Amino acid sequence: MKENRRNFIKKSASIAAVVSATGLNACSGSGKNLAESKEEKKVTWPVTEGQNTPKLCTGVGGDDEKQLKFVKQMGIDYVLTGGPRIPWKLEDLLSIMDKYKASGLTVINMMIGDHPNCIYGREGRDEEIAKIKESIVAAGKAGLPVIEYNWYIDRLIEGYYAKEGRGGSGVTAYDYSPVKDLPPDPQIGTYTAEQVWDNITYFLKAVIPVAEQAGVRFALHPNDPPAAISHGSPQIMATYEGWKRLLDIVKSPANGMTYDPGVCKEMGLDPVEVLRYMGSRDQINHAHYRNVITQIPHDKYEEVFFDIGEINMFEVMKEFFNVGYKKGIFPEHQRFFTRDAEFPGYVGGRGYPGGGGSTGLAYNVAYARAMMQAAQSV
Amino acid sequence: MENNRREFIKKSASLAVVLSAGGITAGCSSQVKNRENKKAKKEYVKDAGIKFAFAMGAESLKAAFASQLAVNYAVSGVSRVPDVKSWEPQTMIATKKAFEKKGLKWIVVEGPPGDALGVKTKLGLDGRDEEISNFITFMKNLKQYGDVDIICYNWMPVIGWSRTNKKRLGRGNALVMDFDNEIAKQNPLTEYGEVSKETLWKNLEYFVKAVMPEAEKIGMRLSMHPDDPQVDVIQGISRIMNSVENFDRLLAVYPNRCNGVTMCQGNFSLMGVDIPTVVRRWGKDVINFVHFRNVQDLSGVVPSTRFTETFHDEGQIDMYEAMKAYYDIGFDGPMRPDHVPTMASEAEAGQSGGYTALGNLFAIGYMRGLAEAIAKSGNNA
Repeated sequence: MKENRRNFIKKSASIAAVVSATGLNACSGSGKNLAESKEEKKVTWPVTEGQNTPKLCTGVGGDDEKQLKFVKQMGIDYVLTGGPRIPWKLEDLLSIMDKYKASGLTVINMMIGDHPNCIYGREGRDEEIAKIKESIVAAGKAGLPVIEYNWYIDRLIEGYYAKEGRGGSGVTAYDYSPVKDLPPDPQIGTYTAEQVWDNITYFLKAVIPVAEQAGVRFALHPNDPPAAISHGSPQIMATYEGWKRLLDIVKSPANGMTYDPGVCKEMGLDPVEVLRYMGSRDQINHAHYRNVITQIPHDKYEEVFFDIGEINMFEVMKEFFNVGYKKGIFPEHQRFFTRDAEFPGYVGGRGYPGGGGSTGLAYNVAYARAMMQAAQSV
Repeated sequence: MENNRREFIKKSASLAVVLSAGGITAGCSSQVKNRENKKAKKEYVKDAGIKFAFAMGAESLKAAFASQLAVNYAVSGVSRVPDVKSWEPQTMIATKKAFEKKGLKWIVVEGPPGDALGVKTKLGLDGRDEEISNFITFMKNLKQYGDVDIICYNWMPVIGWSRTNKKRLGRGNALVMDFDNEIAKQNPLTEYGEVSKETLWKNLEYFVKAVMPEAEKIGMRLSMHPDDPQVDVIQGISRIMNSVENFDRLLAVYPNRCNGVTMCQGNFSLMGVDIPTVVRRWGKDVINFVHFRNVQDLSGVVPSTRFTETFHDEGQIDMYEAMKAYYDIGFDGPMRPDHVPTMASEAEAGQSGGYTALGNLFAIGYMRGLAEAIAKSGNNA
């Protein structure tokens, strides 16, 4: 049907004359005439994702068939999930990816973990690195494009608490002051920033060349909440300077980050400028999409409905296209809706206080899809 | 000008396909360009200044979570009070109060009660004048006691809205509704036999001439909803509100703001009309209510004889250009998601029918994203 329409449009220059002669023409804001519109119109409906667009995705894991159907109903074709224990084996990865494929979903990103010795610079880190290298090779063979990872000494999740939002929905709020002096875990101790930098440098210089060889890219998630000090240790991935420094450790698209506009705004940064910086270097290998209201950068903020946050979500979405970003966009950190209590068992991933649930996820996905189709239409 | 339009419409079934294919717009006078440049600098208003609404009763599931979604407006019929006529003030007061208790503003009556506008009026039967008189009273009391100034009505006597399959498996096995005229054609005539277009026009014009002057006096806006489905005849009963040309004819019977149109995107698109174009053509003095949904024709002809409803983000209508058109004409009235697929948990719980909660929430998320993208275009983060 689409092909017929396009052929017809190409042939019908005379129609342009007919349309403008009668009362059925209309005015577009851009003032283009009919003939120009035909060539310049970028999209026909329905607007879909493609090889050269970003892809909406969502987190899954241990979900049954009906939950996976729900993902498809929302119009999502790509998923991210936790990887198996390291070392990843090719047959295990394929089995996971095939399971989702059977429900029409493509795995776009798996998270890797079990490398505390790397993070803390302890004995045993070389063994971990060997397992991770093996995992990367398996990922490459399986066709998994992105491996996501974290680098926390000890994440400050104690700072999160629930607040009530509009109509009894949930807001995820964060306040540094009650948790800023939490002591270090005795099993972990404290580290200086340079120690953490040394450890991550050692790690990346070992694994990134293997990733490049295997055709796999790494995505490091920023420290969130972006507290300067957490449990007595500084967080190197809680500053823009830290992010830039990380990307320069190995100047390669395989050494990338997860871009998160929410974290940017939590830190008082301009989310569009950060996206431009990282995206123009082709070092964004995964992305989140959410909105916040920040009272004190780094120290006090609320994760809110996308439509009332401070970020201009459309400018962010357009910038994804401007920098040619083609990987996943995850509209995460959904608000809790009271409706989820009536339909339990449909949880859309881990929830933070004031968040979680399939209802909020559906809202986020629909909003993100509209933003994407709008960006594709302008 | 009018004659050109009618001829153009008759000749151009194929052009309609062109128009519907890509949201094609045409050239612009400089006057309009200036107006629209001014509009581009409008201050941002949430939801592009449009009043997102749900069709819901005050006790429905949707009413409970509408405020979580920042949906503040309700579209509904009147709720009946025992021993009180549907057009009497008590009915309006009770309905309005019930919504207020839930923090909602009642904004449209969609579906006036059958004893105020029913078969007698639409088919011109005995008792018609009394029914019309009830309708006029209904309008007055609705405005005065209900504080509602839009009534969405239709001209589909006996057989109203209809589908041949209400549980088709759509995307991800969500339940959607579709219509196939080949199946519908097999249904028998009703007790009213064959009813001609002429009959329906005669009765519609009679109704319009009787009620519009009264509506105009009190500031009530009537809103004609297109026939759904937009076929020519169904079980012997002809349909007339199924083309732009016919709507133009209705508007010409009483050209005034009180004589308006419900822009039901699904139906108009299936007639072969380009939604953004017709929205801009009629403007906000004609369009007083919007059903914002998407559809996909499956028949390959216009008007469509076989179609399916879809999620808002899939389907043949250019939803971005449509929302932009409403924004550009300054539409600030009520807009509701209309039919939505039944999703996930609700399908498993045995629900269906196009009005379930999760699908409505998905639709609002989508509409909000589009409206915000359009209204914030060019402003900084």
